[in-house]
Amino acid sequence: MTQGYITIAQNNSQVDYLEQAYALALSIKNTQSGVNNLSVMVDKHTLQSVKSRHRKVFDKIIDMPWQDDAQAEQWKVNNKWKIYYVTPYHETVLLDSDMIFPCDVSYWWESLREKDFWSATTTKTFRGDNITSNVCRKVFIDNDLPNIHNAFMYFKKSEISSEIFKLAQVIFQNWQRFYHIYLPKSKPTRVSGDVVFALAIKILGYEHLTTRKNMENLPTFVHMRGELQGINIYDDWSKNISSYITSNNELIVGNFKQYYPFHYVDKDWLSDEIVKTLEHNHA
Amino acid sequence: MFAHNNTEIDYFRMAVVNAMLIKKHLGTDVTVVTDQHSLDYVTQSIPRDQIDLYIDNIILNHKDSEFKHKNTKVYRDTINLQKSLSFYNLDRADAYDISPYDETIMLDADYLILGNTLNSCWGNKNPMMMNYTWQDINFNRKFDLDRLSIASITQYWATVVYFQKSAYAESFFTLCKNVRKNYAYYKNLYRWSGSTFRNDYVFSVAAHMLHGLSDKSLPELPFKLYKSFDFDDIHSVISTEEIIMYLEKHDSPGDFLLTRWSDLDLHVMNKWAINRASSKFLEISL
Repeated sequence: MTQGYITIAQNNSQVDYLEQAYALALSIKNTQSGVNNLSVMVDKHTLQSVKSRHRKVFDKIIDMPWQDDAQAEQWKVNNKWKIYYVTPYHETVLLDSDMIFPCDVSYWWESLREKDFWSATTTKTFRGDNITSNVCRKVFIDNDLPNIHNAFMYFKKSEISSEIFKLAQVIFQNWQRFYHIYLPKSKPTRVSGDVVFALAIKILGYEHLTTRKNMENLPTFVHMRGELQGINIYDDWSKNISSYITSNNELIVGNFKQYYPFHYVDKDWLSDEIVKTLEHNHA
Repeated sequence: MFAHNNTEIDYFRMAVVNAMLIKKHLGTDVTVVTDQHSLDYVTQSIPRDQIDLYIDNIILNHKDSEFKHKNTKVYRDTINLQKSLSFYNLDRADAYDISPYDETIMLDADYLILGNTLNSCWGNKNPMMMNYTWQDINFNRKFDLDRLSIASITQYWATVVYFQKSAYAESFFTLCKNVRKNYAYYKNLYRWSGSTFRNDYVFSVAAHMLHGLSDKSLPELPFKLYKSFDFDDIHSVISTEEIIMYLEKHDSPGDFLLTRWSDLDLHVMNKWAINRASSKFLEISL
């Protein structure tokens, strides 16, 4: 049974997602004692930016199959359903590219494989507290959706996962119609990976098979949206909170060491200096 | 306990009262760390043999005169009085070296022992414990004291600290001494404001550092830390287990609720109130 992480990198005019995926791959290589391979799915445009340094750290660089469903979008999440079909692993964790791993979570895999599909439902602040703010989850609460975060989403090749991804494909490709029918109380104005997978799980009646309410510390991640931190930050957090990566690959944010995968969200955080530190640590 | 008087607050007198309460409810040895001046002053009002009845060891420390003059804080006696006075609290981080005991509970002198709750600490598997959770006994009030500052670490209260002679506790107090020595640096690093040197901050930073820069990792004491504030007052002392408090109404400053409080220890932050109640406490103890 092969295992690995996978992410999607589709550069747009403003953000170099490939570089984010590269930093993610370096951090995984630097910190994971067990599963430490990251594959990346890229579109044709992003593929042209792939350099030899990228090829050295990615396990596989996968051409995005079929047409690019996000071609017209600036926020490119529409192709997430394809991951099930392109992953080279029997067991996969899908990650957002704007994450890094500052700690070893290899032991999570033993627990993750208890389910066919398992998404994070609890996220953390940089101080390690569970995020209780519902400010970004109104749609989920209003429409009684499972509170999943697909920035860290485990699945194995299985009937359940296959069904979820098949339905996710249909929802991604017809999201306005699905939102209209299935999200009567409030609906996002754009397609969201979290909402699509939550909706797929709800329609299939798989909440109990794909989430666990009694576990808060795995799978999870630090979610660095400013307004979730409880400290009156509403824009990019890196302007207000200092952070650094040590030579031991520890990530310190606001003087708190990070003990979970770190979803930095703020695109400006990933500086050349941080990438160089990760490269140096990897070397 | 540590007790260093200033020009208005007789901390040693508070310590004598609390030592009496400790003897009554816990039956343990009591050591008070003080200075010669504070000791001399209290013996003018409490006979030495009564002091010795309650306090087993008195350890005299020299005050750092520069710190004494520099470190001040605002003391309040309800809404009616507030004064900026010297606050001498520099030697708390030395508790590990000073304590003659294998197991120690370090207390603020104004944490009145009204029951035997503290006895639940002895022999604990944790070599060190202190609280970050606390409860205002006026449950309607809300003070934002949970963190050193909004983006900083959780604040532990050095009001009650349990520790065993152990490598762990020794490391903790070594870190405390380092934070004390470099207070300005850590203040900047952990982003707290205010000019008063506070052991709550020193101990919070040490707890955070000792546990790999993670929050809330030092175990808490096996009981709640109950607090009244300096806006409140002691109405009367009923017994060594029971007092009646004036608690300022949260929506009406200067007006009070009467609250009977018994059998549970209480942090009474209004020092004048304890000094006023001290004679009654000492009287009923005899």
